[in-house]
Amino acid sequence: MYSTPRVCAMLGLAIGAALDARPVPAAEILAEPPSDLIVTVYRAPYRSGGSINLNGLQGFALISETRTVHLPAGRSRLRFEGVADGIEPASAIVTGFPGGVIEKNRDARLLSPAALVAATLGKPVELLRTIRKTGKTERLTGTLVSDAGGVVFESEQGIEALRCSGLPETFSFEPVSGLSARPTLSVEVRGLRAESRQVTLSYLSRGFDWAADYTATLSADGRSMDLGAWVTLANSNGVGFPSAHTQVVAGKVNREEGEGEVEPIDIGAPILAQCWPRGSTSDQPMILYKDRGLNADSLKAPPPMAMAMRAASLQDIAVTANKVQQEQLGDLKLYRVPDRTTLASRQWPAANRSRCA
Amino acid sequence: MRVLLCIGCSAWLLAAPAWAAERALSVTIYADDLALVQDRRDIDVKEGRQRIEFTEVSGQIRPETASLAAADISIIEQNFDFDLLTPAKLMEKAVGQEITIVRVNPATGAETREQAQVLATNGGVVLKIGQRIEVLRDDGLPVRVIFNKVPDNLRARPTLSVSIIGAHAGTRRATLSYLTPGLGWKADYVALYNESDAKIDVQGWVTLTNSSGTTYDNAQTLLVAGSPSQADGGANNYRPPLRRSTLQTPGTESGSRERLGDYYLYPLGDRTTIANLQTKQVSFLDVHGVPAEHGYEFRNRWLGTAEMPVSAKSIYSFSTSAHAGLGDQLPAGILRFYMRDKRGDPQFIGESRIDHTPMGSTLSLATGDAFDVKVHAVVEKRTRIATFDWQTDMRYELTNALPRSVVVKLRQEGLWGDASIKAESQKSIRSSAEVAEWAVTVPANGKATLTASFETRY
Repeated sequence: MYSTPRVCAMLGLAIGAALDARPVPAAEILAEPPSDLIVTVYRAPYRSGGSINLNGLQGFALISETRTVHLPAGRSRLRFEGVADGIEPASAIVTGFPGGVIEKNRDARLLSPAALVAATLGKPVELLRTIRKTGKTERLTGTLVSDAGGVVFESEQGIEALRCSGLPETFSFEPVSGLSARPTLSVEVRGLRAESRQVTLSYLSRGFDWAADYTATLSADGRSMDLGAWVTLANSNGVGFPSAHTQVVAGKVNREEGEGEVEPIDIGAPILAQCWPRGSTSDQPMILYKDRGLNADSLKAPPPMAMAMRAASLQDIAVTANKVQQEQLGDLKLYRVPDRTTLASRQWPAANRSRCA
Repeated sequence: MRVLLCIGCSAWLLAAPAWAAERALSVTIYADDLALVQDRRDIDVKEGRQRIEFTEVSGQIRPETASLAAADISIIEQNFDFDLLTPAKLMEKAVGQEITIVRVNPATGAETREQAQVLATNGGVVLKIGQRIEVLRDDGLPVRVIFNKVPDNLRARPTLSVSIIGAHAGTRRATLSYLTPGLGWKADYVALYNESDAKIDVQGWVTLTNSSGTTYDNAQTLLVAGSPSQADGGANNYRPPLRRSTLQTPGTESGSRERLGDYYLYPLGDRTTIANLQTKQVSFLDVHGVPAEHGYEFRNRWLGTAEMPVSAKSIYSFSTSAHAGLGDQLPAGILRFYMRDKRGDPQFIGESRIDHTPMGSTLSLATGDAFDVKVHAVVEKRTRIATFDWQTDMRYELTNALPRSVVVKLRQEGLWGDASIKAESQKSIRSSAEVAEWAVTVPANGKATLTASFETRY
């Protein structure tokens, strides 16, 4: 399940540099990576006791990133790359713009093979076809005509479908714009003058959890015991949070689960190279289905993110002997890890433990 | 494919307005996953009968709602082509026609071109080459298939086509309007609660989502707050009932917002591009220093008895009135509460859904369970007084681990109207026949007990 997104991400790194080159109407600027991070982890609201379910973290976190931006005067579009994949875009807050924020956008379209094809639709593309025996590659210039369930390509030779001939075929694309390799939030802002500023981006993100584990040691006479407690943190996002100020919040906060709300998301898809029926004379007779056409439903948005976020297996547990400080936060309790901690992404699985009493 | 025949289309004829050359889009989005798209573009019309195609319409267009208005044309029929251009369809449409096949010798790479006629595509592709019949790639060897042209009605993207009769040839401005699901909006609020002076700062954002499969470039966007009813088809109108009513008193004030019938309108200032699979947020409310009240609430159902004390709900209430309130009506959405921690960083303390709320209302929102304030409700005794007469003695024990005293609004529900209170340790308010309410003060780091006896018929 994880192999496809990872391949896409690598592809993204290779092409990423070429993507930002295109001129855009409003000046497009990239915010610098976070210089300071605050992560507050909230428990899974419906997990009563017991340990964290590492196969599907149901908790969430509030992430505040401090970033430096170099704003020009006038209207510009500012991109925050590398936000957590579980970001709830509606919860995003950006502060530090004196001219105000015009709009905030989260584009769910990530750079993936299918997104690349969709972006090239109707535009020139090069088809590469290699003869296995000789290793010779033929380059054919043409136009991508369709990507609706199979890829159709038109050149001066005529119309052909991708990978139906049995020959190794692929496309060589021209640079496309507007697709990012990593989840990106962008804001349109109005700058009063050209300047560098520190701005803060805060948002809620899924795919976190924390638990308290208590250890009781009975004394020799059995009349008293020593109680120790550990805080265990887990992060299943593809993004890590290096040396972050980390807190956890105890108490049940109210969350409104999306009731029939649409959150568009695209988790990236491979290129669909479907062909015409390819039955041969040695096949068994097949049952005819009345409706074999492409169903209208398959054009709708892919299923929500939640499924893709699951199945992060976290194995290593890092133990630090930090003593956690407690403070009151309204009707909740906040436990602060005094030193900065690194909440690594799922690629370097880690759950951080901090001593609390 | 859907075919709609037009009756009385001449009624749609419009006088040609002065036009600009480019396409103009306007999108009106309702809160229930429904939008009205008005797509104005220039079309080239010939004289007589012809088919006009509109590409880049919503992938989820409801074709029965589409209407086209242009000068000097009459509409015969409207089709929404969902025949997508796929390799399989391409081959299917080529049945009976000539294609070119290029056999590639796997050993040498040498190409042999041949003309072939497609006989059938049932399960596999059957070709007639010269006087022989062959199954395409039956031996698995590489064969390229080259088609001469793309059939007219196969498209890469869903396309609306309209058959019209043009009165005379020429370019004219046409407006295509249709309803589509896949575009929706809701409101999102951010409230920062200041504990020291019990005030909140509230920001409101409208959140637009587009999963309709199409990008709307430079669209003039209008958001309608309110839920227009749809006869069928459209969005799923079922909404589960709210667990806790958030609206305490409905408001009676009018704002300065533009109205459309009984709905409020929120136009977006500039033209904006709503990309496919995009979530877009635009600010519409920014109010500072609104007084807010923080309290606790506990609801007990009839004969509700708990083994363990249960946390009271943490409640924040405020007004949407023009005086000492937000001074605006609030479209339905989610309000997220934040509070500053000791270091001054805002921290999330819970969220609550609100419904469309008129101006001047009082809202009371539960943000979560209070860690330190708990209530233990116990049915102490049930006594039969007469055949149809029961007495129920209730005891509520309230505890507070906070260093300040708190007031808990305790509600005993399920009284049906026939339950009467015979005795109670503190005077109650019967807010309805169903509910008795007490405001119980619990001292700092202390306890309070409330007892009540109810007489009921069962």
